[in-house]
Amino acid sequence: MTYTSIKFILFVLATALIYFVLPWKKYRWTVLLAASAVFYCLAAYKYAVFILFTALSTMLIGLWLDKVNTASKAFLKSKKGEWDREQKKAYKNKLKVKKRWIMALCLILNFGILAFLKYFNFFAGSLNDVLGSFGIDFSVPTLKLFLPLGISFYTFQSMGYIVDVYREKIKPQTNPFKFLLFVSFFPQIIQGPISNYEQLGHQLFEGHDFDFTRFKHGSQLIMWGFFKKLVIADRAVVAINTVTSSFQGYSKYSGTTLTFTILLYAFQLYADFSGGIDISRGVAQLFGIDMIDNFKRPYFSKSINEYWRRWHISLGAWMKDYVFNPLAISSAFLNASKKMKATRFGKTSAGAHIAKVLPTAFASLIVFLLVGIWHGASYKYVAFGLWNGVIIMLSTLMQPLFDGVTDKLHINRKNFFFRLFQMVRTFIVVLIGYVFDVAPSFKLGMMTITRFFTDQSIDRGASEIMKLGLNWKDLVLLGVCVVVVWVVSMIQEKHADTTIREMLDKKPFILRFILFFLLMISIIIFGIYGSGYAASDFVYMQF
Amino acid sequence: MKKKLYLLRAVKLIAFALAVILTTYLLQFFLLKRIDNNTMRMEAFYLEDKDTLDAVVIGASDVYAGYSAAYAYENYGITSYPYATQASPANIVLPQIKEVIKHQHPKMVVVEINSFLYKDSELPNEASQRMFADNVPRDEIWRDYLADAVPEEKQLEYYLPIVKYHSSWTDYPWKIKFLKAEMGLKQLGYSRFRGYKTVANEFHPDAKTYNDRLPDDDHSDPMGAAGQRYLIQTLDYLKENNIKNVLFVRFPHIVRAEAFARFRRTNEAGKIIESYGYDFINLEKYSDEYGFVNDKDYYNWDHLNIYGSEKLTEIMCKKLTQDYGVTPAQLTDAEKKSWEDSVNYYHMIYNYSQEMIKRRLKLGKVDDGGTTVSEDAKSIETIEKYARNHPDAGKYKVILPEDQEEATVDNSVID
Repeated sequence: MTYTSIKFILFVLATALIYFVLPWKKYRWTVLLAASAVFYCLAAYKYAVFILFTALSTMLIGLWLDKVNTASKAFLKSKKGEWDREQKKAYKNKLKVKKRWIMALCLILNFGILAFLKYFNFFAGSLNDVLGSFGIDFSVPTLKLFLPLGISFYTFQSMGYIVDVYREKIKPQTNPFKFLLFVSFFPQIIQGPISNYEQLGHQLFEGHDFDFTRFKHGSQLIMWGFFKKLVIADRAVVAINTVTSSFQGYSKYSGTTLTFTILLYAFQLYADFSGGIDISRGVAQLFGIDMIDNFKRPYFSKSINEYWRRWHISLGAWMKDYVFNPLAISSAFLNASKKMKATRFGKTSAGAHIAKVLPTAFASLIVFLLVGIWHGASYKYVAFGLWNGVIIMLSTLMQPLFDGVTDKLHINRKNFFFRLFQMVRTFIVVLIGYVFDVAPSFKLGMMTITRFFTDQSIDRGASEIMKLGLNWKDLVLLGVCVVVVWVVSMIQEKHADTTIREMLDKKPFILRFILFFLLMISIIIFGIYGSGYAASDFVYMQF
Repeated sequence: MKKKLYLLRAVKLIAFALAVILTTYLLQFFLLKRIDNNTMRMEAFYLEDKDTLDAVVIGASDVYAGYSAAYAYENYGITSYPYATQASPANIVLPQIKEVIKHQHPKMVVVEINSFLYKDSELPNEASQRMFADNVPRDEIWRDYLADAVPEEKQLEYYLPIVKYHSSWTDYPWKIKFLKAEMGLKQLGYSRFRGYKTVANEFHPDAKTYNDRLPDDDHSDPMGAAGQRYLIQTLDYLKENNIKNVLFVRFPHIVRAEAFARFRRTNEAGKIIESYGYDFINLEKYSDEYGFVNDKDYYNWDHLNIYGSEKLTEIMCKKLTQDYGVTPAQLTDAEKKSWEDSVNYYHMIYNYSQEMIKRRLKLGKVDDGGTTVSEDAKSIETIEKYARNHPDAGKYKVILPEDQEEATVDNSVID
């Protein structure tokens, strides 16, 4: 049951009906839990044990942490006036270590499962390569492993929860069924967004009344998601797969065609992922639940840093909260910065800047290396992560140089063309990253980038593009869709404090009627669905 | 106040849903549908007045290319129809017979047995099934057929064709020629071509043929399991329901080495049919004796051209009228007029095709090619134009409206 199937729509409607009809508001969350269980079991009942384990282990360890917190507070209270400051400090440090170990147990258990299932074969293969290169006749066997549905998303969400409990940011959930709902909420299980407990938890357990406006907005968001997924992403993927699904494709097609394919991939990936998230958020909204937005017009970004604040926002926020911040303020990184500041180079203006931003720059590099690995067990994803990390690191370290050049050239930073230049520059950097994302291997990714510069032929490219599985009508339609999405994005960018749906509410009924009617008919006619045109899985489902 | 608000919202929602449903409905039945000569042929069958057909010939492409209902009417006065679709599979034969009997009660139902002769490894695909299933009334026969032939998860696509055909918007503008013809068909109330389709070509086989050896070859090869199962199911149904007016035939084909096994499966099918007490006429086995000439009467290995189809229709009419007692039905003036119109169009098809064949022969073209003439807007326009410009050309006289007899000769239409 994929998000774009008729079965899913009927499933959602049936769930909504039961949810709102249930007279005991207090227990409406049980309908969501039952629906999530049914959804997960229908998709992958064999792997339900993994999500159950993650939910149960995380909840129990959360409770353990809370118990330790409560007990220690009571203990400290009992020692008030008895212990001096030093004794309290020593106790707190001991307590911190104990809590860290408890949290680490949860992280090791759950990230361990994820790492084992997702990365074991990759590391085994890499190790075998290394051993082989030293002539050692030993190989670690590779295993037939499967990836439970949504494992990356629910693991990250659960581990965010345990860190928040550790930090005493939230009170742990004591009801295992409620916690299971938080981990397995069906609109987000396939591809996120990765929500935090503080933002999502209470919304899930509140019994929401039927709200027509929310229901309408949710439905409209679902329609927009369907449009992006079925009309754009699943159409574009035909041409992309023709080129990228085989090793031969890379040598067969010209650099022009490869360039076109990567451009198309950028558009397809955005339509696929953001379309899927729109469906998820729209479904949640039907039940009165607001999930965080995962996208903010990423291709309008003026720097790669900004891009990652606009693309897959929930993963970025998770990484920032739970990896970047702890790393950037870690004693090791701060000490390195201090040491550099003390050197002769650190006393120069450039050196002082580098020493100042060094912790954040290195933290960024590590974060993006992890983001790359999160995407998949392959060197191409390592390259994808490193590419983004290195660019961010260099741009952070060299910021004063760029600022100086801009000032020297008397460039007005608010000038339209300068901003456009920044956007195009950022987009090109993003596209190069995508090359590794889409290529079957790191080597082919490198080859593609070389071919961008050495094998451009408009004539050959034009004739090849027409043979990628899309006819000229499909290509024209995709062009029109690019314009539609671009116009919508421009409006969203201009009115960031509201949503287009809210803006449309203020317009005459007939205009809204026509717009949504056209959207619906476009999905019906131009959507890729039905047998022989099976909608492809959401790209982020594989992660 | 609240009540009024709820009512208004309900009305808006219903209006939106209705607009989408109605538009989708109109799109799927008028614009986003599969439409080709098979659709036209099937739709036109249901336009025939009830119980006005004396005979119906069921089968695949060799039926609509080989049997001319207009020729049969002109020369024998019998009304008939090729109820046939391209590469029709074995599992549609019985539903076809049921449909024919339900809508026409013809004096004779002729079944060309090609559908039963496929090996299990070469069964026709879904498209072939849909040529039947998409174009017949959604009645009990249709539902039974779906239950038997279509996997449950795919049945929704038959009830809601837009799920399958929504992407056919890319077929425009090519499809317009058929849509225009379909509109004309419905406006007229009958098919001018009466289901006939041909390719203007005279094919000369470029490999060894075996037709001369067939009369002496009585060997049988086992049929495909599916073909045999559906043949027996059909015969059982006919026997159980005491339906006697069914004749099984095998139309002529050029038999080359690759088709020899199929010929021997035909022998097997014939034995099964005859074991049930039904007649089976194997025109393929005796094609030489019946006068079919391999390098004159076919437009490719498996299909008769205009010359061959006249011979075949002549043979079939003789058998139907002389051996099976089929006599012309009483027709109303309007029905007669529609059949006369079809005869006139048949003449146009024949004359145009004959000219095309001559031109191809002059160029030495005797391969598997040629101009397709089917009941689409472009073909109709072309043959009408040819008839207007060459009123006396060809074997048949074409009756033109008076004001068009003086048309200037324009050879470009046949280039």
